[in-house]
Amino acid sequence: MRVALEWLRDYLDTERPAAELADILSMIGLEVEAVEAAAPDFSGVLVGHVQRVWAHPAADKLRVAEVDVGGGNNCQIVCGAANLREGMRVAAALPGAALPHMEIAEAELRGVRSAGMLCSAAELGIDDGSSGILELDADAPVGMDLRGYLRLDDPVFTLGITPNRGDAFSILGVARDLAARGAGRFRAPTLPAASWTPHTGRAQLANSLPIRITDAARDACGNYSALQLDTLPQRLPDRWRERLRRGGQKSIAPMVDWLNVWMLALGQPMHAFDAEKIQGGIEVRWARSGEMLDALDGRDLHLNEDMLVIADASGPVALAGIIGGRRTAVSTSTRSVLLEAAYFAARAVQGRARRLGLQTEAAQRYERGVDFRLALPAALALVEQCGVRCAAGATALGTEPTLSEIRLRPQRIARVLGTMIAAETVVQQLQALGCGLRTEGEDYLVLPPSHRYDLRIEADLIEELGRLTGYENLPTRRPQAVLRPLRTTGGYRHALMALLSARGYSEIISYSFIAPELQAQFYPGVESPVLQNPISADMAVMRAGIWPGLMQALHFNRNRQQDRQRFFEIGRVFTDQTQRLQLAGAMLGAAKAESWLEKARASDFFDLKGDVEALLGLWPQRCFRFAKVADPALHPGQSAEIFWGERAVGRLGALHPQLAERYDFTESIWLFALDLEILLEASELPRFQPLSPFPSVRRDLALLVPEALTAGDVLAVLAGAESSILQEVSVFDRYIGKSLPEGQVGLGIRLQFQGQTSTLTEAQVQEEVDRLLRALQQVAPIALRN
Amino acid sequence: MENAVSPASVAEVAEAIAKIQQLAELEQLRVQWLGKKGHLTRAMQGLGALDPEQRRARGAELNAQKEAIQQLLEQRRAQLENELLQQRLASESVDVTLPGRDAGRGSLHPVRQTLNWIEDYFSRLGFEVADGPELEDDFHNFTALNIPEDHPARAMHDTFYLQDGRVLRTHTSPVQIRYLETHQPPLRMIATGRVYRRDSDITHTPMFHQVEGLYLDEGASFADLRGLLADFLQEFFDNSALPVRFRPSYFPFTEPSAEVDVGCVICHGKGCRVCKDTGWLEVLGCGMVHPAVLSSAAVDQERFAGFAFGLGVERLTMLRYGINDLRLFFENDLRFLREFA
Repeated sequence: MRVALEWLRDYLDTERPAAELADILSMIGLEVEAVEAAAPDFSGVLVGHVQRVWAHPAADKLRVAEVDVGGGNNCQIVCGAANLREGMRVAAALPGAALPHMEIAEAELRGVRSAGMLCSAAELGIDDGSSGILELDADAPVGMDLRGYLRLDDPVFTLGITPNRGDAFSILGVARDLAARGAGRFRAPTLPAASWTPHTGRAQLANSLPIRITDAARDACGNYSALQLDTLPQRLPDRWRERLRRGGQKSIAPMVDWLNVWMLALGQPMHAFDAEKIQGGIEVRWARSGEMLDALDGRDLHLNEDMLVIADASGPVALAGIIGGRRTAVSTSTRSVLLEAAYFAARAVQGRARRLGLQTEAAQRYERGVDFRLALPAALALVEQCGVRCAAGATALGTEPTLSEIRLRPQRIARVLGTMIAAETVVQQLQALGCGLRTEGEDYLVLPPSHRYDLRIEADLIEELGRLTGYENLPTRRPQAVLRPLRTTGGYRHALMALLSARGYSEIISYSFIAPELQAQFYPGVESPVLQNPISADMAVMRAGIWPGLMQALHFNRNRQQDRQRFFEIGRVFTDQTQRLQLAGAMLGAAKAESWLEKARASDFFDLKGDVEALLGLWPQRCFRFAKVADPALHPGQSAEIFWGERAVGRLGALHPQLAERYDFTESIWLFALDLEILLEASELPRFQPLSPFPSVRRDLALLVPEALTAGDVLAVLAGAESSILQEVSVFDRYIGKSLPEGQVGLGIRLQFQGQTSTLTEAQVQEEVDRLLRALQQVAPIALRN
Repeated sequence: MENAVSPASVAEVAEAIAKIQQLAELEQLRVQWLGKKGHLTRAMQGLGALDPEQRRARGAELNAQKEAIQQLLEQRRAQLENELLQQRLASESVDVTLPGRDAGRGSLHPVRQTLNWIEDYFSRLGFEVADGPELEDDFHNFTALNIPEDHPARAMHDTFYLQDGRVLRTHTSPVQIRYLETHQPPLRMIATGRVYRRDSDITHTPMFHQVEGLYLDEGASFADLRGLLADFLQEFFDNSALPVRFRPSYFPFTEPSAEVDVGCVICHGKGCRVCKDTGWLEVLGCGMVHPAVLSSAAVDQERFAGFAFGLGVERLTMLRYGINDLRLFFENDLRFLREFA
């Protein structure tokens, strides 16, 4: 909201400079987003009085004016504006004047001398929506500097009003708040009282136009006043036009301009109907399903049953508190106005404008809450202010909010704010906000004013006291607490990240939503949540895995000449039912960074697997198993699933060459993904194994095994043979060659034996080797090779 | 032969030894003099032929010569061996300026580094690091936080909706609610993670990171909140004199609420583009937990009070490292990421 300081002073008696007021505003919760002068810099523009106008001898569209600019000087100025006429007061820029976008010098226009320029509002940087040259009040002091006359050096504050502060959405409210903080004396306006009695539910204007609030709508509409105006207001005086502009509003027509000015001043939105276009009477009711409103913004709004409308005999004429309709709008032919001043409950307005894609000044105020006793007095004051004749008025009452006393306990204030607030300060601050106070024992009973019905509970009042005392004046201390041990959970996560980083992986963060096509390529058949309102089509589904994000990072960087890349990401992945934490990584390019030491070698499956095994090595007491897997995103011959017991905890392998090709990769991309939800489950403590003092014995076996048998199968058999002296098994060689029989591969297995109670004899070792061989031969035809 | 071991012999031998360049030659010389058939050995053998008086004197002389020669030989041997060692070492020297074998450096994302820093900071103060879902229901993301449907505060969050009606959490605050469902005060927790808002321009990305803090205890007040956060911000920006300012604001789930500004870390209050010439940077939001939130969590409000705070991780990261474009965080340019290795 924009607050002109000049206007603020109507309600606040203060000598404080603008900068100081801006600081105070921010520190009482009305955040100042900007402070700027009411107009951009310009100089040399005076109030002029057009004495005489005659046609330009050589140009149809130009005319020549003789303008009195004070001090006995009359200037001859050529002007093309259509609204130029004799007798009007204008903004005259004399030679030497500097306007925001031009310098003025004496000139000759089509053979006629022009000593200056008559300015439009836009040329002065104070565009108010008017066309032609700026017309000033008939009593504007001729010869006065325009900046001084319109007080254009006065600052305007732009405030960010939080949703809880409906009361501060007006010049009046801001002044009241500043005064409560001690920044000046509040000048409360005196608003007139009505001469008629309100009636519950229905009322009647003197000309017998009935007004009715339906029973169902009474909670939504606390009161509804209609004033019939027989005359329409004149053009706004310069001062008010300027205020309207500084409030951020364009000038539309005098009636609407006055309503807007009043809304900015007091915070009370009002609406003007063309009285002759209202058919039958006024009814405040909930919209009926299927009803439409041809709104003032030119759109046809489809209304719902939870929208409050003002209707006449032919249907809705306004959406209550949000926007009026075109059918009953005030126009240049309007002879009589029906002025609506009403209180609509915030919850009857909230959210509706947003749902309809509207944002109006009225809705902004009603949604936050408008003073429920303000409508009629504000309307009557406006009638006085703009000098129109009110022929009749009537008020129908719905159910107004009730204000009840709030108990405020001094020790509670101290508990929340961390300090006592002196009794006289409490009383003074709350009264400054308009609250009524009485005491009961130690406690205060506080009755909030009608403009602060957001004050409902004790905490609301304590917040006000804190705010008006100033947070900067409240104490600060370090919290004191009881020591209590905590279960730490982040350890493994940090270890995983440190390990990957040490092995050359850089962490990325990619978006959790991706393009549906990409998802389908990597995770065909996986159902994952779909966004109702994605920001773009390529961010429309929640990712089922991290691989697409990694692939995109590889792609992005490959296009920036990065040939060797290692990336990882930790983040959630989604299906319709689950949102699990995943750790995934990708590698592209040479196994080792380019070096003078050795020739580059392309990464292969076992580089990837080595990294994955290092990660799994963080849980040395767990036994992980790798098995071939068919994954649509991976190369069918170079992909594996990782099992911990029977549970699949991850996958790794080469990106499927067809998929890689789609993204212009010719080399292999190596991917892994681990399910951290499982891996991060509470970990077992390692069990101590006694260390044998006896020497160990090593045996290398060269086995001939059928090609179909994997190394994993062989190791599994050896592990399952339950040898009491076999300490370690490793694969030291695997070879395929012409020297081997068809369909066979050579596998070098290294066995390490060690006794726990004695040194092993040659015979003992041989016996165990034979037993293990027999166990292997039961699974497949396996032979020892010489 | 007697002449061969005259008193002058030692000097002769010393001269010969000094000329020797090879260990083998030295050995030859040793055999020549001290070997079984060496000059000295034989001279010693000849002692038996002398009378006792002469034998003693001659024996002492020969022994002295033998020791002298042995010492000379040893010295020369050590010298030659050392020379050999020096030669070998010289031949083994490498160009130490050549780069070592490199596994390639990786890096943690700058946002992660900030998250880690913050988690670590609050863990040291006894805050538990909690976690919550990113796909949230309306209740936890809004209603339980005192943001009813149609409340204007909802307009502060541009929400992503899923087709099943759930939302992408717009803040980490729902973790407060979930934590309170399973924990009773006194408690201290922080939650970190991704949040989503339907907003994308030069200063907004549709996904970003937040940290949420919740502290409930007997006697916790706004003063404690101020103390805790002032310490945190001064530590984070590594400046114990950093000005920290609390300004009244509004969040539906706290009351009183505050926005927290720090003195601009770029211009130190002089005024710059980053602080829009105000000298202040808004860095987090906080407040005393709203009674409505506490009562729905069945917390005894006469006994316990507390506060909550929330901050945007990207903004703090940008200020900490001087990063000037938010979008860099999600482009994943390797050159950018490596700057934070």
